[in-house]
Amino acid sequence: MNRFSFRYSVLTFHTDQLWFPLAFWALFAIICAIVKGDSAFANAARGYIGVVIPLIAGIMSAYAGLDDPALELRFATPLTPVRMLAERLGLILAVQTICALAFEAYYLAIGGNFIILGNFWDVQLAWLIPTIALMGFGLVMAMLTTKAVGGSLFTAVIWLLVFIARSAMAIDPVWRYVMIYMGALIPDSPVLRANQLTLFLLALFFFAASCALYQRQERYI
Amino acid sequence: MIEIVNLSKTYGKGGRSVQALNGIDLKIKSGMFGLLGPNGAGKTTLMRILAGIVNPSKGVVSIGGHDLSTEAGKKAVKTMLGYLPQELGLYPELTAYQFVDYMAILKGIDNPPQRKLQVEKTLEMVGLSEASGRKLKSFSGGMKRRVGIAQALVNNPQLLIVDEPTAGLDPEERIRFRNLLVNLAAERTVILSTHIVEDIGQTCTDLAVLGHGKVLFRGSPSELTTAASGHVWTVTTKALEKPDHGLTIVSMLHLAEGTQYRLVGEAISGFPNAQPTTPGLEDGYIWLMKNAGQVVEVG
Repeated sequence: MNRFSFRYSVLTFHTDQLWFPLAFWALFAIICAIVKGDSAFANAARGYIGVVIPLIAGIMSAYAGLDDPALELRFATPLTPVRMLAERLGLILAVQTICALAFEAYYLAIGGNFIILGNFWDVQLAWLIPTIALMGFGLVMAMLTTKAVGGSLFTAVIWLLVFIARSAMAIDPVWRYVMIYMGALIPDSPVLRANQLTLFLLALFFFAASCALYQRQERYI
Repeated sequence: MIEIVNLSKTYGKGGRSVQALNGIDLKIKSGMFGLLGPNGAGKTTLMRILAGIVNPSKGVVSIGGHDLSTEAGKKAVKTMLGYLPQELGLYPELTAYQFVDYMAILKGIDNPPQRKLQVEKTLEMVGLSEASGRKLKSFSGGMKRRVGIAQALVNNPQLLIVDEPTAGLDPEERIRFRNLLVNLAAERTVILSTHIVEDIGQTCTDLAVLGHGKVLFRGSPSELTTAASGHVWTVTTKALEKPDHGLTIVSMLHLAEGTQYRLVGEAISGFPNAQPTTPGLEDGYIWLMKNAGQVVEVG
């Protein structure tokens, strides 16, 4: 049965969740325009796609499952938890994808390039992998704390801690595999692919755990 | 047919746990069934268990032969369920039509022409056809409740569960809503949960009263009323003294000759002018609650 309606998914989506990523997009577009020609030019662009986009996606995902005025009504329908979450997360990922691709196009248009990150697909993996990893983390933390704000807070804290410890994590034999921003900040790391695979598997685990937790509907009403 | 056997629900663990339901046994047939009880009696928990949202801690619930303890059973019940929760959350930016249409999609009505027909029919049923294009944020409380019942009915459910549906409605809306529920009960099971005794008296032929998570009474409204026979009096006093020694004041009325009280209790003494009075459903409820040791909040 088809129980997905893109139209209603968009209509029931909080509009601030669309303005939030757009505001960051505009901010970094302006920063890049200002620092063009400077060494900060490339850093700002890499920082936006590889560090800022995952944070925004993680915070938005924390709100995906629980921030819904008609949650009890939805729980009383035969819709499965997987479908409910996929509907919202798909939209969040779509918004982030549009932001990332639009920013890449804009950055190229004003004279920048992402050669340092590798080919076209390496550039996409540099933001996509950390994005889905933090989406999964934000979602599972929201489910565990039963509060959207709890999920977003944990996401922001982890994001900040990893960012502060990024250099130390990159050389640590264990932590380097979960250094979220490796694709964007240390693209020449010999363990980049292993790091991306680990983050991808972690994201899958987070999503699966979130679906299992979402099954226990009474925790969220 | 709904069968509830030894149903218990405890929230939390250890010393901080709260027992919401404690050994409920009920059989509910087709038609209108009322669930009455004070706030905190466990009505909403029972409604949520029947809707497949909350899992019981103990006991068995079977609806139309589907066991709610299994995922397959839960899904089958949700397919034939219409549910109006106590706290109805809506999407303010959607119109009434869009909201009911969206809920119809979530309930699995995939065929667009059939869905359109169903949505229009249910909106008409609740008297919202003309306002169907208006955004929900512009609706009054009564209109929002009607949208709530429309979404509950859109899949033509065999089981309709409505939790405190008349709370916050004006008298005209309440009557309209009650009549609608009675009409709907002609061809399905409708479970009406409320703490408003009058709503039950006007709509149900079968009811249960919950208190502290237990079934305190099961029967018809007239049986509940009869239980208070010989325990209801009317007293008019001129003095300021309230005749409430061991009695519950059901109502009081300030008249020219003094204050008239309607009282429910075991026996009355000290008021020779006390008149035995024919009980009503509310008196029966108060008498039941008094005997069950429940705090009766009236007056």
